[in-house]
Amino acid sequence: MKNLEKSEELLSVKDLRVSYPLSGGLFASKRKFFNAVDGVSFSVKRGEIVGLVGESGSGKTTTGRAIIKLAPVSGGSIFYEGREISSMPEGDFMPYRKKIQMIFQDPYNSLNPRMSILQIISEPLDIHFPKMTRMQKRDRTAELLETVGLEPKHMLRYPHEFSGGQRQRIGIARALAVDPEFIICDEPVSALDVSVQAQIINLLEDLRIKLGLTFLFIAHDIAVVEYLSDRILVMTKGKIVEQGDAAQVCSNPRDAYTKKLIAAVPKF
Amino acid sequence: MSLLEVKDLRISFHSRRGVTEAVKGIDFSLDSDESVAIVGESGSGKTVSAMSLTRLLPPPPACMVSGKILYKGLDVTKMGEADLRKIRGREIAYIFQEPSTSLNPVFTIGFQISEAIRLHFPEEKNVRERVVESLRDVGIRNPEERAKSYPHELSGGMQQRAMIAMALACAPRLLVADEPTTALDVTIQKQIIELLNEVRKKRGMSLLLITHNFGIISELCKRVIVMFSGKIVEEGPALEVLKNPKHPYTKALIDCIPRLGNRGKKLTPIDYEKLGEI
Repeated sequence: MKNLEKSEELLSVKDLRVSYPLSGGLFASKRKFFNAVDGVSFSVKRGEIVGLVGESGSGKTTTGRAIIKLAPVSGGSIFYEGREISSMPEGDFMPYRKKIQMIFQDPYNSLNPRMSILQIISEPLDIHFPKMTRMQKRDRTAELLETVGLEPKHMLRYPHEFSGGQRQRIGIARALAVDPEFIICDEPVSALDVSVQAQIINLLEDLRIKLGLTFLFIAHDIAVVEYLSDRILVMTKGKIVEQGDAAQVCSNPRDAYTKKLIAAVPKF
Repeated sequence: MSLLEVKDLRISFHSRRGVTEAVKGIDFSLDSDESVAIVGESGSGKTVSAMSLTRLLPPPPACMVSGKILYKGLDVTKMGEADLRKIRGREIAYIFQEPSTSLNPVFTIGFQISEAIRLHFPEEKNVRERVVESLRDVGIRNPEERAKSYPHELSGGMQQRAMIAMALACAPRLLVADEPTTALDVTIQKQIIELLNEVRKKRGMSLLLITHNFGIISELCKRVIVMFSGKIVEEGPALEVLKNPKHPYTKALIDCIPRLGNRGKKLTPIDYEKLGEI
């Protein structure tokens, strides 16, 4: 399946639904469900950055998590390189966990405080490359730290010794460790200062060019999304209300909700 | 006379590794009914300066090296605990960045607001009505019911509204808002900014806004103070500083804000080496 041209569809989501049972379940005769994601369809081509924008509660994070089975899929299907992954048993899905990686929102809570940077970054290597020796893991960690702009000599330090921006770089290094093709970034910059935010956005853009990565970039700030994305999907209340070329969506929004998001960007 | 006057404020932190100077001699003042923003990145000393206004920093490791903080002509730095308690919440109130960690998870919103009222107005008989009133003031629908909610039952935007209600419950003269919208979505951010603007105008209250984001300043504040590594590097009318920043750091800070209509362009992060020691 490798070496297909750039227009190849890497990920395709069809009518995805994720619902959670509401309280009063167990003995109640009828269970009620909350539809966090309510029939979402989109596709991502290889090498593309697709932005997914919406408020908290719009279902954008759940959509991202459903792709790697961190949220239960209750309907629809997800195809990766043409194969359906949403209904795969965990054993068959394992290689896709290597291909698809995730960067999380909060750099403070997504790194284990008791693990050194070396342990954090080599943990995915332990799972996906069990044959790697300790020296190889060390070298790989050093290389990754350099890629994301950190000093390799700091690999024995612990997360609390780093600033928010540096921690986010560690999170990115961990995602890159297993040579993924597709990265889901869940609000990677919203917990950071504006100046640090700019550094991380530029880093992601550099990585896309250098490593030929494909991104799904989830954020609530449409201005941030526009910087990076080729295409934008706008989501609210579990549904995609508008999608299209990034510049097009931002300069000429059609849906009322997109207009609201654009109006919320501070102007000066 | 200005409401608040800070003169040559210096604050350091003592630790085993030595002394860190967080604020290196800043002067500023704030008139009654004025709104001023302090802008800077994390580590610039903006929050530490704001916290020191009512001496909220724990004495060790924090240490005020020198300076004066005059509130209505009285020096806060020389006050005793009892006098400070009369100022905290009653005269100068705070809203903090992270509403979810600033609220106590085991008490209802209503109880937490009533605490402040009972402390500052022990005579007050209608505490319950005042709590409901303050929740209504910040645009919370169904305030009688919401007063009985616990923090986890509210969304981030609602929690921040509850924090604002708590800060305003005792009708303070000065509201210090430390990154009030950083943890919130842009759409909610807009609502909170509008709310702050509205209550400030209605009550004729002063506002000191602490933020790293230049984007939200012009909507809330007339004057802006830019801080970098413990010092004030620029000060002036908000619109003028935004349009025509004089200091290279201010310019860099404005340039790194993402704006619409710039697809494919690179953001310019701050180049600290170029700025050098200021």
